[in-house]
Amino acid sequence: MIMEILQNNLHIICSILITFLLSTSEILFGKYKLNHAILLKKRGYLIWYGIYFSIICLIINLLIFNGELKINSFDVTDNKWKTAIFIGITIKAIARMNLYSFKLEGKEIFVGPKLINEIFEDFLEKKISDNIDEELLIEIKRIEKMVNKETLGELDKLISQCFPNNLTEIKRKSHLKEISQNKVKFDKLRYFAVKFGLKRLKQIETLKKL
Amino acid sequence: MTDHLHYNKVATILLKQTESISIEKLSILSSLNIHELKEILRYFNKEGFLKYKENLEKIELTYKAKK
Repeated sequence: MIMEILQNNLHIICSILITFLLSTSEILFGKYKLNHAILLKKRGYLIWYGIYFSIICLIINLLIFNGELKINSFDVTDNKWKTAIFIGITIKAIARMNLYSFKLEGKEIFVGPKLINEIFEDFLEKKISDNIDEELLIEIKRIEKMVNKETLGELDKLISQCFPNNLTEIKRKSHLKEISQNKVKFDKLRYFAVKFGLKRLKQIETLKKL
Repeated sequence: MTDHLHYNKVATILLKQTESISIEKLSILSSLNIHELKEILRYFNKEGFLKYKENLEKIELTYKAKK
């Protein structure tokens, strides 16, 4: 029975999988690409982020395949896979739309996933961002203790050795200048961590040990 | 003297330009005031990053800045 339902709805499962992978990858390798290691370590909210869009994807798929929502004159029953994959790829855009409207006292009221999406997406992104900041703070404080004997100039030099090699000369000098403007070690390390991520920050520790 | 100058912000904007721009346009693009920009450009010039040196009407990066 369950197997039969699953087999008949393989296209929807595929759509959900696409949604899950795309939405989590967008966070991992897009917005938080510098700190994806932290995200993978504290992945709770990232998974919830993927599950949230997967649920929206499931609902939209069901509404479309039950005929509640129409894609112009496109026959979804003849193009099940195409439709499901298309929904999976575009779900984030669909989630930001008002799909229905009704009139109340002559005024049009819009209803759709947009209403809840603004709350849930913001909430989950805020939680993901808080987790990253918390982890970065712990690491910055740890490295700050490690370099407590270095002078500000020595720390600038140490940080500059951890810059990525592919930086243009003007970017390298600009970052260095901004780091040297900070007169507190924590601020220097925080600037570096925010611009280049946790992995680069940890290179300071490695360099220090050499 | 400004407390914290945004060198990286200005560098990022200048790297995106395909032709020379004036300090006024740079000010609009960066939302930084002219006084602050002058100080940043003075530093860039000292490092040899500006093609037209102290000419604030024509600001363009040198090959050295972009490499």
